[in-house]
Amino acid sequence: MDVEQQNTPEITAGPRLKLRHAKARAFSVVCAAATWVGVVMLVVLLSDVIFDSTGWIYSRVDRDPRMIMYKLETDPQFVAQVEERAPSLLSGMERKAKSKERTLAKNGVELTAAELADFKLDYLHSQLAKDEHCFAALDTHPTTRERWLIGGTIIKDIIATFPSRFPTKAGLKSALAGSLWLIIFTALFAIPIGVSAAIYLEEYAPKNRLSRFIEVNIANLAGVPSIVYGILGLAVFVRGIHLGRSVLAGALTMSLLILPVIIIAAREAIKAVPDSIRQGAFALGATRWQTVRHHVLPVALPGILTGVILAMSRALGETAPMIMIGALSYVAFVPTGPMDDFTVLPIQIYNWVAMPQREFHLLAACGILILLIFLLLMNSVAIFVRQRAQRNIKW
Amino acid sequence: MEIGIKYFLLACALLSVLTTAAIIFILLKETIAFFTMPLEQVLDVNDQGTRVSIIEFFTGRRWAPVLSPQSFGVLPLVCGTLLVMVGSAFISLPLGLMSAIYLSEYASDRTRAAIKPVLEILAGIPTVVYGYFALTFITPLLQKMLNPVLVGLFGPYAGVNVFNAASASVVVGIMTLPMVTSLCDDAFRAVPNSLRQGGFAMGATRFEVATQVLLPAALSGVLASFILALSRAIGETMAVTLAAGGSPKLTLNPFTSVETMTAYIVQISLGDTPAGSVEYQTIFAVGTVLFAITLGLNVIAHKVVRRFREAYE
Repeated sequence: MDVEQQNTPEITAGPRLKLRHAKARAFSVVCAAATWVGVVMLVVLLSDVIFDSTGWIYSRVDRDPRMIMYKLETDPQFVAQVEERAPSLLSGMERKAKSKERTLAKNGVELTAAELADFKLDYLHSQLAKDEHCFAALDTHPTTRERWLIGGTIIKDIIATFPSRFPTKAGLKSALAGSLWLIIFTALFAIPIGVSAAIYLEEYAPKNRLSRFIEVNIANLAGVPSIVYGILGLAVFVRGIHLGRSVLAGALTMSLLILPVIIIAAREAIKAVPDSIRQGAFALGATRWQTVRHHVLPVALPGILTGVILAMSRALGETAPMIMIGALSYVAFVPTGPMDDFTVLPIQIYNWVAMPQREFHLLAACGILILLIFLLLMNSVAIFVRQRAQRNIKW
Repeated sequence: MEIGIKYFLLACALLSVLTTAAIIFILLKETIAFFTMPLEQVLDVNDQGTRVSIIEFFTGRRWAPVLSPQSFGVLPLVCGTLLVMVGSAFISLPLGLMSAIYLSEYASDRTRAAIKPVLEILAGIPTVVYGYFALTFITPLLQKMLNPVLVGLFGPYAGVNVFNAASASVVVGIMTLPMVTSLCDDAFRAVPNSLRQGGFAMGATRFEVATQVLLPAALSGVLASFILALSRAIGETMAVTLAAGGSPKLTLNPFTSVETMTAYIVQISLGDTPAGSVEYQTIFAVGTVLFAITLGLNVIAHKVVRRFREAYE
């Protein structure tokens, strides 16, 4: 080996070093790109849902019977246009309304203005279904304000009507009510039990094999697929204790499903309470339960609440176990008690997505948007609670 | 009072054990019922009728419990499940690992604080929404991109089916990505800084430190996150039901319709198969297989964490 070369330190980067640096640069770029894939996917998913749902409502606004009705009442230009392009429509509507009024008057019933308007709207609806071309020729040219007005009515209809065979008449009323019932009952069961279990594991459990076993068991339960809980609920609650396909059976199943989530979150929150607080309480002669009840729980509450809200938002979106226990797909009533049949929002969405018609898919997008808005609200409450709590902690 | 409260709390904790016991008990009981049930309702009391054999169940290559002739080979369902799982792994594992490396090693605190909640949102979106996304966005996209190629290569019928395993794989991959990212991120952050600094002091580039120092040190966490992601992909139901379709097939073609175990269970419970029949009992048998696989994977993940953990004090 050449002695001289060994003595002179190499300052310039050799080809190997360059290659290594190039590799490192490429790697950092690839890693950053991988991270952005997730973000981009979320953006794409959300915009897909938002464009599909709002686009569908927007496209319906122009030719919605209510828009035509509204225009007929407020816009003389539009009336003139209708008289020119679909002359039979106005006269037909008036004639029908008159004859209806007459028949009712014979029986001594007076028609109010609102009822008359409803009747005219129904007539428009039926004409619209009969004669597509005639309406395609009508240009309502709504202003932005009118678009919002009628669009709002369409959204209100989706929220406040029962499901239907026709995508433009179908709504989420029973699904929203069912989800509400389910969430309330699930919360009633899951929160007290979950928090109690967490208190036991953090505050009471001795370090023995039983405690260790319970812990491992909860970790494993958290990994069990949700559909298996559905099978459990079907066998135990629906058939075993004969609750049938009721809200109660659904809520019990859902409680079992989210219990591990609540327990794990509540344990984290309780664990974060500093030991000095417990020792202070013990030093003053408090019993273990008094310590937990008056000192540990109040401090841990925000953390527990955050976990609970996140668990409930998971329950709101779960579909498979509810299908398993037989939550119905077509429900044209609102459940009035815990033993009633029910459906939930995600099942309704699933049904619509599973339909072959494109219009049902778009309706499903509207349902998804509503579901996501609910989830977003719940999550922001959770984040709000967490941040408030972090600000208040002083130790 | 104190004692009473203690036992009440213990009872709540034991409820989880009871849940596990109930799951196992129900699955086993109904599965045994499935294998001992006569296949056809026979009038003659002495004629016990034929039964589904366990061997046929695990080795049969045709799954058609509600068609005639009936056939109870679970392999097509397992195959469909694994197809979707492997496909999703191609997305979630590398992307999750790399984004975890980015978040823990490269990203500034501000980027981290911005990206982590986004990934949490991604994980919190209900799976039925992913099903919608797969069916109305990913599948048409795949069809547009791949159909010309596929049809050119394999003939006019080789295009991407409306229901296909690939599209299901993509969304399941996206769905499990946040889990891999956050678990791997935790694992990387648990590696003490001295190891990184040691690497840099030796003149290693960030790439070399990441692959030769961090990855071996965090291996247990990384492997566990991979296994848990696979387990979740296997148990995933709604997105797969909507996107992958309902025709059980023993195939490796990701562009054709397959049926997973979970999708089959949903299909039967939505259908009008009478409860108590052999056809209906299949959901418990399939559920047992599903439960066994996911539980097995979860147990392995916990074992891996303990076996390969490098403890730094």
